Amino acid sequence: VSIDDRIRAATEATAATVREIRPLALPDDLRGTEGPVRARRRLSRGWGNWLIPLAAAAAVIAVAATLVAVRNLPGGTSVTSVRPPGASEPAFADGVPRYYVALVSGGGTPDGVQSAAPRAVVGDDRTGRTLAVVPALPGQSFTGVTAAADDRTFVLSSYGSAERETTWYLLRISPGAASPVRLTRLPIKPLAAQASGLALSPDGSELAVMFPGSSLQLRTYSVSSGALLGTWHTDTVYWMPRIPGANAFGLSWLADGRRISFRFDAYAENSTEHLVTVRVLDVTAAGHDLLADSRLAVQVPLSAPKAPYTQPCDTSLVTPDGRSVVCSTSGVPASVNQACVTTPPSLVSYSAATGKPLRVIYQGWCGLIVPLWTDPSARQVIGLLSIPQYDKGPNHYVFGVIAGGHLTSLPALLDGAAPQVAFLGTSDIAF
Amino acid sequence: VPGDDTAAEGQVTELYAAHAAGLVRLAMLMLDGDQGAAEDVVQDAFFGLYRRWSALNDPRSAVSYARSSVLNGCRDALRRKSRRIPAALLEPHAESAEARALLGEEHREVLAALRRLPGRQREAVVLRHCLGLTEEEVAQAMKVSKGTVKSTAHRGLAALARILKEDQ
Repeated sequence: VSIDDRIRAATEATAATVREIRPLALPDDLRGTEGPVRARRRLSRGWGNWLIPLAAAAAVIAVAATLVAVRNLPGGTSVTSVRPPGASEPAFADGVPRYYVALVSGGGTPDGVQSAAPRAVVGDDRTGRTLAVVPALPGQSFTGVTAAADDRTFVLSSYGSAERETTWYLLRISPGAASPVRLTRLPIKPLAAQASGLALSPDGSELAVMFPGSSLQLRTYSVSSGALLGTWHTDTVYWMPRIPGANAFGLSWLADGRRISFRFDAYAENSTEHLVTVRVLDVTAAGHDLLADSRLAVQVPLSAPKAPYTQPCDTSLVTPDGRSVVCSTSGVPASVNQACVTTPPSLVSYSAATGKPLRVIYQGWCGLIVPLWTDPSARQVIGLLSIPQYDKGPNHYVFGVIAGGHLTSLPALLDGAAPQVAFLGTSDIAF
Repeated sequence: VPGDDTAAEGQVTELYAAHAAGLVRLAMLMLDGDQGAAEDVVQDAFFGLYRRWSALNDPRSAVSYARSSVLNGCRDALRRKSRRIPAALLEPHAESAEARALLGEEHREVLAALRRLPGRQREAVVLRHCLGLTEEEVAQAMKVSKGTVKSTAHRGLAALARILKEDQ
C-alpha cells in the first residue's frame, strides 16, 4: 500500500467521524462590512437545533442511527400508518424479532441513567418495555452488538481505552426471570484493534470479526472455546464504509451458518470510480484471501458528490438466503433553506444474481431510512426512519416494519426520541 | 455576481451546502481533527465570502476564495493555539472517545504523522493528496506557484513516509 493510499484511507476515515455540521446562518447586517468577523456569538446561537447533513458521506452518518445484525423471518403483517409511540401493541406475531439490544448513551432513556459511556439496553419491541440495562464496564465502552437467531443470545464488543483492546461478552436474556440478563466474557483472545465488523452466527456458535489495519482481516472464533477458527485478509486498497462503527463493513451471516456477507468499498479497476460492493464468503471452503475466495454479490457505483447528491447504497443488508441486497439510498439538502432533501430516502433491493435493482421497497419524503432487518424476499424490512426537524429540534426517529410501501412503527426505545444510539453506527442494535 | 443581498445570501448558502463538507474535512486535517474549530473556521470563511460577494470579479472563484480563507483561518487558529501553550508542552491530540472508536489504528498513525509535518508541507499534502485537488488548485489556495506546490508536496510525502517508518 503506497503512502498516498494510506493518506487517502486515513482521510476517508476522518471524514467518517464527522456527523453533522451546523448550517450557515448569515447575519443581516454583515454584508459589505470589513474587519474581523463579529457575528460568531450571534450565529452560533441555536445552531444545535439546526443541524444539517454534511455532504453525501457525512449526511449518511448523521442520520443513519443504526444498522442491524438480524435473524429470523418475519411473518409480520403490515399496516399503513406510522404508529405513535405509546399506542397499543401492533399486530406483528410470527417471526418478527421481539427482543433487541441497543447501545445507548445520553439521557432520556427509560432507565433515566446519565452516562457518557454507552450502555446496553435490552428491550421488547412489542411492548416498548426495557427488560434490563447493562452499564458499561469500568474503563471500557461497548462498541457494538450482534445477535444469534434464538431471540435470546447476543454478543457485545467492548473496547478498553487503557488497554486499547477489544474484548467480547456473551449476553443471554431470560425474559420474565428474576435476573433477566447474564453477561459473560468470551474466552476469545483480546484484539489489539478496534473491530469494524461483528456478526454472531445464527446458532450462536461462531463469532465473525473484521478489523482494518495495513490489511483488512476477517476472523472467525468459537464462542464456546474462544479458538480461532479461520482467517482471511486482503491487501487491496479499500475505502472505509461511510457508516462507521463496530460493524462498518456490514458483516452478517447468512441463514445457512456457513456463509458470511460483507461490504467492500473500493476503486473500480483502472479507474477512480468509487464502488460499493457486497461480497459473500463461504467460511467452510479453503483459502485465506478475503477477496479471491469470496464471491461478488452486488456492485453499485457511488455517484459523484454533486447534485442531486445521491448516495445509492449508504448501508446495505443481505437477505438471509443471500439472494438479495437491500440498499438504502439517501440524499442531502441541496440548500439549507430547503425544508427537506432533494432526493427522497428510499430502500431498494438488488438481485445478488444479476446485481440489478429489483424494486423500491420504501420511499420516504424526508430524512433517511436505514434497513435493520429483512425477510428472504426483501419485501418486509425493519427499518429506522430519521426525519430532520431542522429548527424545531433534534431529528425524529421512527423504528418499524416496512411492507407494501408503508412503515408501521414498533414501540421501541428509539420511537420519537432524540438520537440516543451510542455511535450512530452500524452495530448499535441487534435483534 | 448578484446585485442584492437576498441573491447573495442564497448563492453563498448554496455554495456552503455544496462545499462545507469538504472544507470542514480540510480544516479538521489541519486542526488536529477538532471538528468544532474546523466548523468555526469554515463559518468564518463563508462570512468573509458573503461580505465580499459584491466585490468578487468572478463567482466561479468563490470556492477558491473560500478554500484560501479556510487555510488562512487554520493558520491563525494554529498560531493562537501555539501561543497559548508552548509547543513542547502540547499534549498529543486528544481525540474524542467516539473518534477513537471510529478511526482504526492504522489511520490514527497516518494522521498523527501528518500532524508532525511543518505547516506548509501539511497544507500541500492535505490539499493535493488528501483532498485530491489539482496542483493549480492547490497553488491558488496556498497562493504559491505550481512548482512550489509540487516540491512542497513531494517533500511532505517523503517526510511522512519517513515518520511512519520510524514509528514502526
